[in-house]
Amino acid sequence: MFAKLVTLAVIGVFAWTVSPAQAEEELEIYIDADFSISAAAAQSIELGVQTALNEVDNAPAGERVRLIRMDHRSNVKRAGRTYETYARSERALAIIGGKQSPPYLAHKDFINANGILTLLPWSAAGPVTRGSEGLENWIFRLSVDDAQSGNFFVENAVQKDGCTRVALILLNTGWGRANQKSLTAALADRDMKPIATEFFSSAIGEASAISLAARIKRSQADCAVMLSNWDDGALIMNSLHRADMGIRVYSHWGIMGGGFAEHVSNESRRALHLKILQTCALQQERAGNPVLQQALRRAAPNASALKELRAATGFVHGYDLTRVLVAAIEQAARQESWATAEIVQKRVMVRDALERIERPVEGILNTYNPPFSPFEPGMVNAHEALGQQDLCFAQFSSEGQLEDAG
Amino acid sequence: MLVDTLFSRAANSKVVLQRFWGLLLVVLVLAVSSSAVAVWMTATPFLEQERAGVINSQANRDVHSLEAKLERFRVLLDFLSHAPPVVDTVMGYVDSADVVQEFVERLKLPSEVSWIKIFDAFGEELADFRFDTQSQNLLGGTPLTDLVQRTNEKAAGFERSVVFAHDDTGAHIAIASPVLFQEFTEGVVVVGMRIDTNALFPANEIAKDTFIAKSSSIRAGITAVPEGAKVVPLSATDLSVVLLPDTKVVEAAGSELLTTTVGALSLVLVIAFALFAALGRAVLVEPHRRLEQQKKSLSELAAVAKRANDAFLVTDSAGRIVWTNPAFEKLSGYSGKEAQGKKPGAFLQGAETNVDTVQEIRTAIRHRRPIKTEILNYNKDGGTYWVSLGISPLRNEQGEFYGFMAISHDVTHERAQREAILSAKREIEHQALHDSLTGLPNRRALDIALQTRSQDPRADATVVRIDLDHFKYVNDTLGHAAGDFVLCEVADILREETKSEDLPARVGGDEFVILLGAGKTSEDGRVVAERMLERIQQPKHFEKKTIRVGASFGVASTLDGLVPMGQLVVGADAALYEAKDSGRNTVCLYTPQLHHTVQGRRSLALEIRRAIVNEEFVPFYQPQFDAQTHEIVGVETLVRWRSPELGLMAPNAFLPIAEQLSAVDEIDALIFRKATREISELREQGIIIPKLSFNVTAQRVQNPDMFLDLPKSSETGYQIAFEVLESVLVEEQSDLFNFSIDRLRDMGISIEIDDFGSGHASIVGLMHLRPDVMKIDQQLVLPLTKSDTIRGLLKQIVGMADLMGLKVTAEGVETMEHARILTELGCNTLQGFAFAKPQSVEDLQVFAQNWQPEQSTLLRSSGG
Repeated sequence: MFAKLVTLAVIGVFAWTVSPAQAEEELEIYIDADFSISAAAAQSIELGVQTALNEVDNAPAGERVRLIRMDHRSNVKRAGRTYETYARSERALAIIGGKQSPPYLAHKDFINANGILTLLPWSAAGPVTRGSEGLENWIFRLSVDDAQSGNFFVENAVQKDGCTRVALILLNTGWGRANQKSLTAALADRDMKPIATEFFSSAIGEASAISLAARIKRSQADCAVMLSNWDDGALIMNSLHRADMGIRVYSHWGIMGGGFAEHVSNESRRALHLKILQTCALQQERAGNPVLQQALRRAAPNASALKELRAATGFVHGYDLTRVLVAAIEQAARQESWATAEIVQKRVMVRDALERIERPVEGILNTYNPPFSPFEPGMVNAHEALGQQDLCFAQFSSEGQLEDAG
Repeated sequence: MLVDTLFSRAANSKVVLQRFWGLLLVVLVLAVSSSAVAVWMTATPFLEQERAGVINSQANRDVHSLEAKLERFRVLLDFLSHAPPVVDTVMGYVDSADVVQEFVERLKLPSEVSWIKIFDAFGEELADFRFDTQSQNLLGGTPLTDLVQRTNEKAAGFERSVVFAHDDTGAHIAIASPVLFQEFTEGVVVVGMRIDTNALFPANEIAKDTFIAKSSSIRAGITAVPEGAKVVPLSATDLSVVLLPDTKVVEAAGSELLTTTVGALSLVLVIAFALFAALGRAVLVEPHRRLEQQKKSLSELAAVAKRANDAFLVTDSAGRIVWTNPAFEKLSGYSGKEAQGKKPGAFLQGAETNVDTVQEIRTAIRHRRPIKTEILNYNKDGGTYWVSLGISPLRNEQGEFYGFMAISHDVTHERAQREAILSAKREIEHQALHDSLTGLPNRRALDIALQTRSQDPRADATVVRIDLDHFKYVNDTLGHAAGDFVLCEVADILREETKSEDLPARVGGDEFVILLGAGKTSEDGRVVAERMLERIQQPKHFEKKTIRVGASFGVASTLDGLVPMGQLVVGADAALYEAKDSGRNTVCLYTPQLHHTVQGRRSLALEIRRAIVNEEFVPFYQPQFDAQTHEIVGVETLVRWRSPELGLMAPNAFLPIAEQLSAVDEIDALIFRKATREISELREQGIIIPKLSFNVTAQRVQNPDMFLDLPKSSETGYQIAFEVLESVLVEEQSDLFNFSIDRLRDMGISIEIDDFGSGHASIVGLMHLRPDVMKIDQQLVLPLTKSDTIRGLLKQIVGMADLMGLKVTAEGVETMEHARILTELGCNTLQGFAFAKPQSVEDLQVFAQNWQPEQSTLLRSSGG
C-alpha cells in the first residue's frame, strides 16, 4: 500500500515537471528537404524561412513556432514517413518542401487526403499543385511552375527575340518529356511547330553530341530551348558552338548547381546568347528592392549581394513563402475560435486563410495581392503564387556568375 | 619335468639340447608379446594424430566449398543492390512491382536461389520473388526482420549476419546487402537460398554427417554440437561447418593396421629365432670336433706360412719378434736375423705413419685383442709402403697367452687406385649438385634438400625466391660475359648473406632460391631478402662499365600455415610475381591475402576451362574509320567473357590466367569462329564491314592448326587482318614464324603491326616483316593535343610508314580534336572512343545502320 503511494507520488512529481508549459504550446514547421546530398539547396531554403520567422520573433500572432529539419535524403519513401508523422502530430502546423519534386508527385493524394499543409518553395513539377480528384487541395507553391514556364520560353524566344525556327533539345526523362508537351503546346498557340526535337540520354558522348549539333544545324534552327543537367548541357553547348551556327539558346535552370560555367567558355556562352530561366530576384536586387536588402542584412550581415549566398533561389523563395504563411497565420488567429482550436482545426483555418489573404504581402519577388486563391474547377493556377510575369532570364557574367539578362 | 631338465646339473649333450630348445621357446614368446605391446604403445598416438589430420583437412575442404558457394551469392547480391531498378524502388521513384519484377525476371539466377526480397529503409517489404515453390520457406519471422534491421542500421558486423535454418531438403540461408544511394543506406536486398548439403558435403568414410550451423548459435549454446564433432567457422559469414567424424571406421582401420604389424613382427621373429636355433645348435654340438681339426691343421699352417705371399711375423708376449717368414724379409728389406728381438713398431714405422693408427694398434696389443687395419710402413732403405695388417694374440691349448702373430701384405698400389676412384667420384657428385658458373648448389641439390627436410613430418621450411630484374637487358646490351659476371656477383652476395645452415641455390638463368635453416620464419626471410636487395642494387663495374640490376623477392614459409612443404616453392613463386607486379625491386611475402588470391585464381581457372567448353567468350567490335571520309572501313575484334555468374568481363580480368593455362589459343580460335560468322551474317543483312581484324600472338601465328579454320577472303567477301604486337619484331624472327606470315599473306590475310611505338621495334625488323598496316600505340596518340614533341614524332613515324608503303592506323582517338590532328598528320585510319567504343554485334549493327559519314564536313569545319 505504502509502496503504491510512493510510486504514485513519484509519477505525479515527474508529470508535473515536464507538463504543459512551453513544449505543448509551441507549433512546429517541418522542412522536408534533402539535407544530406543536396544540402546547399535545403540549407538555403531553411535560411529564407528562418529569416522571415525572425522578423516576427518566431511567434506569428503570438504563436511560438519551431523549425524542424526532416531530412529525406532524396528518398521518396522517407519523405512519406514525414507526412505520416505530421498527420499523427498534435503540434505540426505546416511543411515547407525541398528542391525535389518526386516526393510530392508520389504522395500528392496522401497529402490532400490527410490535410497536410504543404508549401513548396522550389519544386517545379507541374501536377503537384493541381489537386487530387475528389479531395481538397492542400499544396501551395511559390516557385517556377513547369506548366507555365513553357509558355514563358516561347514568348521570350518568339515575341521578344524574334525567333522563327525553334528547336527543342531535351533530356530523355519524365521531366524532359513533360516539358516537350508544354513547349509544343505553347508553340502551337502561335501556329508554330518545333523545327527539330532532339532527345538525348544522360551520359551522352562527344560523337553523339556532335551528331546532335549537326542535325540541329541541318534543321536551320535560329533558336533552341534546352532542358539538361549541367554536365550533358556543357557538352551540347560546346558542340553547338563548334558547329559554328548562329543560334540562341534558352536553358531551363537544370544546368545550375555544378561545373557548367567552368566547362563552357565565356566565348561559347556569348556566341550562343545563352539565357537561363530564373525567378526575378536578380532584377529586384538591381532595382534596389528594400525588402531584399533588409532580408539579406538579417540573414547574412556580411554578404553584399545575393550572388554570395549558395543556391540563392531557395533563400528568396523560402523567405517570400514564409512571409505569406505568417500573414495567413495572423489572419487565421484573428478568429475567436483560434485560441481553443485543436491542431487539425488550426491547419484548416490557416489553409483557408492562405486561399483568402486579405492584405497585400510584400516579398522580394513580388507584392502578393493575393498570393493564392480558392482552388476550384477551371482555376488551375489558384495555388501558384508566381505566374509567368514573375519569371526572368539570367545570363553568366564573364566570371561565370549569374547576372540579370535584362 | 621341463623345469627339472632345464635346471638339472647333470648335463649330457641330450639335456643341453633340451635346455637350448626350452629357453629358445620362452625367449621367443617374450619377444613376440613385448613387441606387440611396444607397437601398440607407439602406434596409437600416431594413429590418433593421423585421424585428427584427416578430419581437419576434410573439414577445411568442406568450409572452402561452402565459402566459394556463398561468395557467388555475395556477388549476385552486390549486383542486385547496385541495380538501378532496385535503387529506384527503395527510393520510391518507381512502383516496385513492375520495374523490379521485369528486371529480376531477366536475370539468370543460380537454381539454389529460393527467393529475393527487397526492403526499404524502414524494413518494410517492397518486393518478394519466389523461385523455389517446392520447399517451405523457413527463413522468415524475427530473424529475417533482425537481419534487415541490422543491415539498414549497418550494425557492427552486419556483413557477417545470416538467417539460417535447415530441413530435409538442405540448408536454408539468407544473406543481405544494403542498397546505397549516394553513399547512404536506403534499403536492403535479401537473397534466400537452399543449399543441398548432401551434394555439397558428400558422405564418405571420414564423415558420418556434415552440416551447417550458425557460429553465434554454437557459441551461445543454442545449437548443440555432438561430442567429438569438428567445428570450423567461416571467415566472412556467421556460419560454421560441423563435421561428425565416423570414428568406427577410422578405429577399425587402426586396429587392422595394428594386427597386421604385430603379425608381420611375429613372423620375422620366428624366422630370426629359427636361424638362431640352427646356428646355436651348431655352436653347442660342433666345438669338440672342431678343436681336434685345429690341432691337425696347425702344423700344416706353419708350412703354409713359410711359402705364403703375405708377410708373417710372430712375437713373444713382450712384443719382440721371434720369427718372420721370407715374404716379410722381401717386403721390409730386413733379414730374419736383423728383425729378431726388435719390437716391430720401433723400426717399421716412421714420421708419416698415422699416429692414430699406431695408438689403435697399441691399445689392441695392451688388451690382447685382435686388430685389422691399414698402416704406412718404412723399409730398410727408408722407402714407404702401405700394408694391410692383421694382428692376433696367440694362446696355447690351455688358453694362456704367449705372443702375437702379425700378417700383412702390400696394398700401396691398390690404395692409390682406390684414392683416385674416390676423388673422381667426389668430383662428379659435386658437379651434379652444383652450378658450374657460380659454384652454388643447383636445382637438384635444392630438391634433395627440400625432400630430406620434408621426410620429417614436423619439419618446417622457409624459402626465398629471387629473380633478377632487367637481367635480360644486361645480357642483350652488354653481352653474356657481363651477364655471367652479374650472376657470379649475385651468387657471392647470396653466399655472404646466408648462414651455414641456409642453402642458397641457382635454379635457372637468373633465378635463385634460398632454403633457410630449420626454424626460420618468413619474417627472417624478409630480413635476409632486404639485405640482399640492398647489395644487389648497388652498381657493379664490369670492364669499365657500370651495371645496375635489381631483384624481386618472394618469401614463403610452412610456418605461416598456408602451404605444405610440397607447394612451398610455388607459394614463393606467387609472392615473387606479386613483388614483380608491385613494381619490382621489392620483397613480398606469401600472405593470407595472396593465398586467397592464388586460390581465387585457381577457381577462376576452372571457370575459364568451363567457359571455353560452354563457348561463353564472345567477340566485341571496335569500328575503324577512314580519316578523310569517316566511313567505316573495318572493325577490330576484341574478346569479352560473358559469364552467367560474373557478368561481362574485359580481357585483363581473365587473359593473364588463361595464358597460364595455355588456353589463349582455344579462346582465340573460338572468337575467330564466332566473329567471322557474325560479320558474315551482318553482310547478309546488308551491313557491309569491309575488314575484320584480330589480335594474334606470335605463338598462334605459328600454330599449324590455325590455318585449318581460315576462310578465303574471296569466300567471305571481306578482308581479314591479323594484328601482331610490335614486340614480335624484336623477339620472334624464327623461320617458322616468317614462313607462317608468308603463308597468311598468300591466303590474302593482311598483317598489321599493333601498338607501334610502345616497344623497341627496329626498322630492319619492320622491313623484314613487311606488314600492310602499322597501328600507332595510343600512348603516343593520347598526349597529341598537348605536346608538340609528340606531334612532331608522329609526323616522322607517318613519314617513315609512307616511305615503306605502309598504311597508318591511329588507336585511342579520344576526341574529335585528336581525329583532326591525326588526319592532318596523314594517318589513314582512326579508331577510338571519339567515334565508337568496342561493342557487341547487336550494338554494332545499330551503330553501322545509323552512322552518317557526311558529318565529316561539319567536323572539319568546326575543327578548323
